[in-house]
Amino acid sequence: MSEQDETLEIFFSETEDLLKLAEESLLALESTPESTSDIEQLFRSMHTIKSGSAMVGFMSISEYAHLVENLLERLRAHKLTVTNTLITFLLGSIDFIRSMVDRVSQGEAEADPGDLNERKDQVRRYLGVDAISTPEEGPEPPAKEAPKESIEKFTFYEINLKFRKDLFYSGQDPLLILSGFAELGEFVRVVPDLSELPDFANFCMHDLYISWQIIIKTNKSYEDLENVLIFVKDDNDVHIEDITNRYREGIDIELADKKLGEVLLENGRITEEDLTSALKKQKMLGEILVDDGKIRAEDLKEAVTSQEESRTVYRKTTIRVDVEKVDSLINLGEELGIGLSRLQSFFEKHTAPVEMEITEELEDILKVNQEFQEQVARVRMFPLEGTFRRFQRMARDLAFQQNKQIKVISTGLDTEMDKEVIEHIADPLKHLVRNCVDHGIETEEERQAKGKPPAGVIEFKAYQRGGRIFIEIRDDGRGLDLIGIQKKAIKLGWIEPDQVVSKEILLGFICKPGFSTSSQVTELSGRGVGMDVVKTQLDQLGGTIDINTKKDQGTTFTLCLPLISALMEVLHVTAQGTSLLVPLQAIVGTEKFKKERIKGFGAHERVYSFRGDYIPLVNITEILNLDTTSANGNSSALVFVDTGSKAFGIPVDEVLEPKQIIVKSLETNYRSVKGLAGATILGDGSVSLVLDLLGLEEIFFKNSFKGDAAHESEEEDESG
Amino acid sequence: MEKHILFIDDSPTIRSSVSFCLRNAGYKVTEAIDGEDGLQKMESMKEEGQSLSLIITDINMPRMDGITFISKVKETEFKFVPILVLTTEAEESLIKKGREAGAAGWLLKPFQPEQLLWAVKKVVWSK
Repeated sequence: MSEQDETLEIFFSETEDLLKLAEESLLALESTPESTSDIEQLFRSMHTIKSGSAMVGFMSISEYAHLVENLLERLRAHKLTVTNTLITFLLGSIDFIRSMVDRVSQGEAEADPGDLNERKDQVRRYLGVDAISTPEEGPEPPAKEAPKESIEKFTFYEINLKFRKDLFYSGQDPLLILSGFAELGEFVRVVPDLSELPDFANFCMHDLYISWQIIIKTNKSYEDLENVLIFVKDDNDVHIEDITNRYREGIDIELADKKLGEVLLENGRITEEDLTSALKKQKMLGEILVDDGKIRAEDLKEAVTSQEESRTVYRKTTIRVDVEKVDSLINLGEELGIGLSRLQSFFEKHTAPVEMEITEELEDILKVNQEFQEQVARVRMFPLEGTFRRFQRMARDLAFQQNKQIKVISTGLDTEMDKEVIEHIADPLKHLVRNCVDHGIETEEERQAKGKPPAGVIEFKAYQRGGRIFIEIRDDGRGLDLIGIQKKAIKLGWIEPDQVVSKEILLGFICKPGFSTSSQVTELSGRGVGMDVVKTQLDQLGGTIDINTKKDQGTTFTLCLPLISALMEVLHVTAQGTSLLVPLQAIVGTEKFKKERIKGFGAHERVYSFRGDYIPLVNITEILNLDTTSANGNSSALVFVDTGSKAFGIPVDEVLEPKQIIVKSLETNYRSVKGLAGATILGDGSVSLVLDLLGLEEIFFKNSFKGDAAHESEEEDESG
Repeated sequence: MEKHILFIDDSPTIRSSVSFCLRNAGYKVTEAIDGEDGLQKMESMKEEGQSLSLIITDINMPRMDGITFISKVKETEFKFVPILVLTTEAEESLIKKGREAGAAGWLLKPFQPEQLLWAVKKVVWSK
């Protein structure tokens, strides 16, 4: 009993202090109505009084304080302005609370019920300013039932949870907190923020990267919600905010800018199907105008016809040309270029004063020829639109056959590509689209069980970046079965059973020949069936494929292809006396070789400090088995490249000039060599090898996870 | 599965009352008399392959105090087990120290059984 008395004592003295503080804040507000700190202070005081009095069982005080707190909340949210009347009223409220506290301290009832109700109504009238202007808020309950009603009324809170990255180390579990909220009310919206999520290589499973925004509809108090955060609120960035005003009538007024269909969909009033079928019923502009009698049907027809005519005229300005004719033009330009370059280097060797003018002239012609070659090459370029449309159709048909719903989105239809490349990517694309529909996208039931919209999404996207074209095929299906891939790789003996293998390497496996031949894989869907075929076809085009997948979120295949199949910009270098060409678009910089910047680790690994990063050095002479009599000794320069997935440095003897070349395939003239994209004849008639950086990357990095043994055996393969 | 709680306090009275309260609520409780004893108990739990859902510890104890104990736990494989501190200490700096060491929460004595169970439910998954 004495303990309770003690608690009461504490409550009385604390409340008295709080009331004084509140008074001070109010008076300060009178002179500076804008002072947010005073509003905050006032709010906190009332808030503490509310919870304190509830704790010691003085419910009338608590309920009254709660109403005043609501009023202050509006003040805080700038829904109410500070006026003298309001301040007078609030001072009166404080006096009333004080009188109730005095009464209970003398063992009396907190307040006369009639008086209390009247006081509450006064506050409610202030609160009700809004209610009057929006009668739809529901019939206001009669005054007598009011207290109960108002407390049980639903409130909308926005909860922002941004935890410390090391939250798990304190034994906390964000899911436990989310479920704590779930127990208190109904989630209107939960939006996880994944923007902090690093890529797989930098992901640490003990760190928390996700933050959440929750909107909850509840009849519980602010404190009830705050209690969920009791152990995290002090050192985490977590907030709860009453946003009932925004959610008047239960609808987010911020939704005003959204399309009606989306809003209804979010509220769960309609399904995606309803929306789609309703949208289909929508009439075209022309039809509506005709129906409304604004225009005659003939007018519409005429307008449409003239539009069509205009389009036909546009088409007529293009001509059909046999591809062979264009190709021979390209070849001629190429020959011309080589001839001119040879002339140029001839003159450079035998420069006499008289010949200077000739050299200059020659340079001009060279430039014109370069331009000529580019323009001719462009003749072969076509927009991807047709290709995309074809696959969009194919995806729909396939999905229809399998009773799956899909939505196809295409972007970048006007991206242009070399006709030959377009033709050759048709097959790989077909394969990928098939994979997406057959294995990626789940059935409607499966998707609903996972809480996904019934219709799967397949997205085609094309864009040009640097000298390359990127084509993305993305689905929002089940994602590739990484565990299955790992099991299969173990079975094939590509990795050890207990080996920890990164996602990238696993995804690399599905592109390896021999992976998907087994029927077992076909049964277990979504394993990238036939991906090796896709990879080979892309290799031939000088393209690459990148796969990104996430369980139940989908898979993205990104094809990276050369803009023009024939022309390539390269940097001419020499390494161990061999003439080599490095694709220019991948080069990020060149630098004089500085020995002190090298750092070695492991048996073969060396890194080099470049622009503040340590970048691995790839010794191409070693990989390509060039004559390495003096190892790295006389490398005087470094070429830094970035293939998109990896950056590395290549030690070279000398950096010569950039060139534009036509790559001759090694395969047709010799045989394909990994690490080399092809060869070309330089202006002086000599042969130079073009590096295939992705191939080099693969030889150097992708095999290094197996250790040096694998690394070396791969090299032997290359030499043999 | 039964949730296992390790409770550390040097006062026998508190040990018995808290354990009673937790066991009554359906938790399995292991008692320890101070930080050192707590670490030993955890060592044997590890050997027996027992799981641990929560640690509740006092701060002022002989041999090894609560803060030291918490930081030691963080070096073991039980580092992700939430730790609640149950103490009479309300000093801000001490609470901060405890948090930095990795305590999940702070409970002040004297407490009501409901408060304790309520707090436990905040950090332990329960059905």
